[in-house]
Formats: sequence, structure tokens, C-alpha cells
Amino acid sequence: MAFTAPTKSIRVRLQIWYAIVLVAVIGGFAGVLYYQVTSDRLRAIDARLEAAASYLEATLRGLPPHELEDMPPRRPRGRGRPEMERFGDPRPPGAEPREPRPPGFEPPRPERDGFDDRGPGREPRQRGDGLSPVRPPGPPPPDRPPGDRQRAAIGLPASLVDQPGDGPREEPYFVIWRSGGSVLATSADRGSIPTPITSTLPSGHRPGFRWRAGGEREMFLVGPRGTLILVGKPARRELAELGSFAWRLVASGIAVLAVGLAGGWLISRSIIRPIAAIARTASEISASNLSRRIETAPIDQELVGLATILNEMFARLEAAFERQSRFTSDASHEMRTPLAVIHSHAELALSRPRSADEYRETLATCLGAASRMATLVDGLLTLARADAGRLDVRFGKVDLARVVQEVVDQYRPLAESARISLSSKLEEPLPVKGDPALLARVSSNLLSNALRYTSEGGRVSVSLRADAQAALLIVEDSGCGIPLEDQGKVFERFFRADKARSRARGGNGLGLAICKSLVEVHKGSIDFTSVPECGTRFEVRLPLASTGDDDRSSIGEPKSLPAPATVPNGEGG
Amino acid sequence: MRVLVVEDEPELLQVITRALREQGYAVDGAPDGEEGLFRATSWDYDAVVLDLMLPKIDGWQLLETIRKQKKTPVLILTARDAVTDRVRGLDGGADDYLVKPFELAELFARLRALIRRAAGQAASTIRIGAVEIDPRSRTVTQHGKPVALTAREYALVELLALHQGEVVTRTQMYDHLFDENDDTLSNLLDVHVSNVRRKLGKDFIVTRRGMGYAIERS
Repeated sequence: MAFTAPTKSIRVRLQIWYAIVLVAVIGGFAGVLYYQVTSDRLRAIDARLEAAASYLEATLRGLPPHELEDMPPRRPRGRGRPEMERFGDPRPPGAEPREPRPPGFEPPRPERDGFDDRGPGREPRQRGDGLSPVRPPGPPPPDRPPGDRQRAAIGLPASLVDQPGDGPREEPYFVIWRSGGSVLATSADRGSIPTPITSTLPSGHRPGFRWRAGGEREMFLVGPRGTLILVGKPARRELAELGSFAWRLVASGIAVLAVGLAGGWLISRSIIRPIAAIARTASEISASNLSRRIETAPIDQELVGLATILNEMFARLEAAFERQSRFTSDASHEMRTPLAVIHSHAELALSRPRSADEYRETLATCLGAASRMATLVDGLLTLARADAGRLDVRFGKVDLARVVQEVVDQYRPLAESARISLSSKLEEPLPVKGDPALLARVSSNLLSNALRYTSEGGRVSVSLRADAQAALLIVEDSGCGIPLEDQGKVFERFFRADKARSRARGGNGLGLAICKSLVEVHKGSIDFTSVPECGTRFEVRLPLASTGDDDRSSIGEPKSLPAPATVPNGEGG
Repeated sequence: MRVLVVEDEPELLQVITRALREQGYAVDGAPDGEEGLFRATSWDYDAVVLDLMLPKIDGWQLLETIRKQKKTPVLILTARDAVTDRVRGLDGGADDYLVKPFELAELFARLRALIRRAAGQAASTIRIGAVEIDPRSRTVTQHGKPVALTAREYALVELLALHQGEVVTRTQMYDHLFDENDDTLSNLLDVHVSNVRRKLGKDFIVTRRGMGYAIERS
């Protein structure tokens, strides 16, 4: 088998297309599914965070306002300070410790932009606003000295901390800053706060949700009096679950893809296989076994048409081949018979001394057989040349009436000796474009045929007239007619309706086949009607020559007519 | 020996008939299948020469019909030379197949072989006592010396020799020795028999009263 590029294979191309479509469909579906599930989970987490933040905000509202105020000059500057220190003490170094703050200290100051109390109507949901800048999670914060008593009172209700004990701790945590930046409160279990809480946060964070790099989901909320509430919750388990869900999606997508591709491969094979079977059968059909056919029963509907067309083609081929081989065998049969006559007669004559009369008789028989062979060979050659389009035709403007008249005159003695009345009615002149010798042969074949099949006392009539831009030649006899079952075969080579009669009168079965060939060379048509036991009528139509046609000189001078009709030339069917 | 030739080509029928008669056969000719069938089923021919392409009833059909009734050896003589035709002919019951154009000598040889085999003889010469019959040259020798017999006398000796030990009835003898062209006078057979007896010895042919003639097995 020769190597062919895979893209030349319809099967491979089909598979590639199939794979692309499958990947797109599965990928799209999985993506949508993943997005949906992820956002559902996130919304659940966010809802908890929101609830916790609202709870804390409500708690803060319940606190005395001074608790929420910061010391005005102690505005922290977070930049450049070590995290640990900031976590441990949000105030700048060197600032005097101010814990616990004096309860009455409450300097009135304008609320800062970033920490407006926007009230419960603000929009905290800004999901998907990205994770926080990636930074390595810091070491767990060192224990801080316990806060003041108010701070200890702030906490999350049990309903929001209901994480079961198993697995990693994923309880929510929170941090609340005052507007000045100092930490007001944190969740009770400080260890659950994943990253260092800085006092710089108020300057850089808008209310809303965010992700921390360690896998925590956090939410900022501006509380009363510029306090900033951060509620967070480690979501590692959810993230892990989502990750494994994604992997499962990928795995099942690949599995579906594999199953789909395998199915497609099999189906495409089942499409290809009948084609291969058809090709195999077709390649096995050769000249020696043309009768084979493609079996259509097991073939898919779409291919049955192809198989049927091929089968029909094989049938036509077979018929043509059979016709050809029958013609060959008929031709050889027709040649062998006179050959056998010559051979046997000569052999018999030579087998012992004979009288002069016997020799003469033998030679006459041989001569007759030889002439028959010559006629046959001539007929076969004419047909072969006509088939090959190499017939030597000298087209010119011919008066068909004169050609026919000469043929009729040639056959008149024969008709008289057979006591057949031969009448002709020719309308002249009737110019057609053609070869006079070939046209004479057509007329001669038809006429000799008519005489051959007409019994004594019958009549044969020839008529010629113009009819609808054509010359119409009719040869009609009152002979034995052609049996109905044979009427389709009349123009077949070597077909003879009445073989014994035809042979006895010198026919070789080629006459009408030659007529048809010659008429077709002249772009005319030949047809017949025949009633058994009543007679036969042949009609030849030849296109009329237009008045301005060339070569007027050739009108009416047919140069080489076939052999005179004293002996019918025996081509008749 | 009587042979039927079924051949639609008149000139060929004529030459085969004539040649076979010159060989001493009684020959009937039939120009088409219908007449061929009628003749072939009406008489016991020693052999039939059959063309295949025949008017009215073709050779295949003729052969099939003959085979239903007779064991007559049939030689197909045809222009159809395809192997499939030969196979079909031989399988259809023909005993031999010869393609036109043919040598008359080969046709004669094949007919002799067919007739000999049909009579159960394998050897090409028949020996009866001191008499030896050679169908190839159609000669008879006695003690190594040739005996001059007419064609009809030879045919009579050959017929009886092929069926040696059996009684051949007068009717059978007429059927096999004379064709329809012969004037079969009632005593013609007796004349031939007495001529043969004169040439080959009185006891060569035995008369079975009321039954026919025979040559005793040697």
C-alpha cells in the first residue's frame, strides 16, 4: 500500500473535525458548569461573611461612640514598618502605648473619605475583584496582650461559627479597626487570622470582597464612625473541593471525548468498509467474470445508490461485451462455414481421380463459397470502419432519385425471374448530401432484402419523396414479414429472421446492420414496420442538401455502384 | 454403417454426404433441426454428425432430445470453437466435437472410432479366425492376403464383425447398410451375403433361419 498523507483520508479529516467540535462542546459545557458551581460556592461563603459583617456592624452600633474613636494624632503610617510590629502594635514606634484608651476620650473629627459610614444600604458585594496582592503568608502572629474589656465583648454568634471539628479549622475571623487605624477588636481566636493585620489597611481598601493568597475569603465593611470591619474565612476546603471538581470535570471531559472519538472512528469505519467492499468487488470484475455484481443488501442506504449505479454499469458493460463476443463468434462462424465448404470440396475432389465434370462442379462450388466469403469480409470491414469512424466517405451533393433508380434497374431482372412485381415511384430530383456509392449500397441492401423475403407473385415497391426537410425512401414488400419476437433484433449483426431462407438466397445477416451504419454516417435514420405474413416496410430518412450546397458536379454521377444485381450481393438480413 | 448428417449449409451437407458414401457409409442428410430430429429418432444410426447452428431446432436442443431416447454416438461438427461450446456439447451428451473448417480424413477417423467404441471394440482392427478387418483402410485380409471386397460387402462384414457372436436381423442390416437413396431390393442383402461367403469361406457368415445372420465369435 502506498503511503498517503493522513489529511488525504476522509476518515482522519472527519475525526479531526469531530475532535475539534467535541473539545469545544465539552470544554464549553465544563467551563459553564465550573463557573456556575464556583460562583454558587462563593456566594454561599460571601453570604456568611456578609452576615457576620452585618452582625459585627450591629454590635459596633451598640457600643458607646467613644469606643469607636481613635486618638487623632495617632494616625498610623503603615508604610515601611515591619509586619510583626505592626501586627503587634498598630501604632508608630515611639508612640506611647495607649491601651486601654481612656473611655472619655473622644475627639470630634471629620470622618475620612475612605471610611464613611455608608450605612446598611451600601454595596459590599464586589465579588471577583481579585485576590489581594500575593505575598507570602506570614508566620502566625505572636500572642498579643489581651485587649480591653469592650473588645472582649465583641464576637461572632455561634450560628456563624458552627464549623464542625473535623478537618482544618475554617472558622471565620474578623478584625475591626477604628477610623484612626488602631485595632478595635479581633476575633477571639487570633490564631485563626491568617495574615498579619496591619493598621495600614484603612488607607488602601475599599469595602467589598477579596481573596487573600492563603485561600481566605475576606470582606471589608465600613462600620459606624469610620470603623473598618474585616471579616474573613479560610476557604481552603472549598477551594480544594472546587479544584478536585475541576479535575473531575477535565477527566470526565476527556473520557467523553475518548468515547466520542472512538465511536466516531467506528462509525466512520462502518461507512468506509462498504466503500472498500464495493471497490474490492469492482476490482474483481474483469472481462472474464463480468457477471459479478456488488451485493447491495448489506450496504447502507446512502451507498446503495452508488452500488446500484455501478451494478447497472457492469450490466451494460457485460451486455456490450457479450454483444461483442457474440459478434466475433458469429463472424468467425460465418467465415468458417464457406471455408469448410472450400476445404472439404477440394479435399474430396483430390482424394481420388475424378472426371472433368466433377472437378468443374467442385471448382464452381469453391468459387461460390469464396465469393460469399469476400462479401462477408467486405461487409465486416465496412461495419468495422463505420464503428471506428474511419469509413471512406466522399460527401457530395447527390441526386438520391438517380441513385435509387439505378439500383432498382439493376434488380429488375432478378425480380422478374422471381416473378415479383417491382414498382418504383421516385420524385426527382432529390438532392441529399452523401456518398453515392454508400447510398446505393443502402438502397441495394434494402431492395435485395425485400426480394429475398418475398415469395413468387408478391410485390415490392420503392418510393422516394421529400418529407419535412428529409428525403424519405420507402421500400415495402408483401413478403413473410418479421416475427414479432425478432423485431427488436433486426438491425443486429448476423441476425436473420429466417436463417434457412436467408442462407439459401445468399444472405449473411449483415445487410441491415450495414444499412443502419451507413444511414447513420449520413446523419439519417432508418426504421421499419412489419406485420408477420403481410409484409415489411423500411423507411430511410436522409437530410436534404440545402440549395446552396457545394459540388453540383457530383449530382447524379454515382461512380462506383456495388456489384450488379444479377446475383444479390447477399448482405441482406 | 449408416450415418446421419445434420447440416444447414447445403454445400457442406452435400460434400460430407458424398465423401461418407465414398467411404462406404450409408448416409442420410438433414438440412435443418426438425428433419434431423425426426430422422435421428426414427432409425438406429451408427453415428450422427450434427451442426449446432441450425434453423428450426438448434443443435443443442436436438442433442438433448436424441439423448433422451437413443445412445447413438453423436459427433458435433460446428464453427463454434469456444471452449465453453465444446464443454457444453460434450457435457450435453455429444461423443466428439470437431470444429470447422475440418479435414475430411479427421472426420472419417473420428466416426470410425465412435462406431467402434459404440460396438464395444477398443482395438482398431477386428480379428476373426484367420480374417482380419481393418476399418482404417477398409480392407480385409485372410491369412495375411488381401481379399477384394466391394464397399457394400465390406460394410456388411464390418457390421457383422462389430457384433460378432450376435444375431443381426435382416431389418437391422438394411437399416445400417443402406440409406434412403439405395434401392433396397428384397434380395439385395442375400446377394451381398453370398458374395462375401464366396470370398471369405462358406462358414464365415452363419444363417440363423427366421432371424438373421451372424459371425461366430472365434
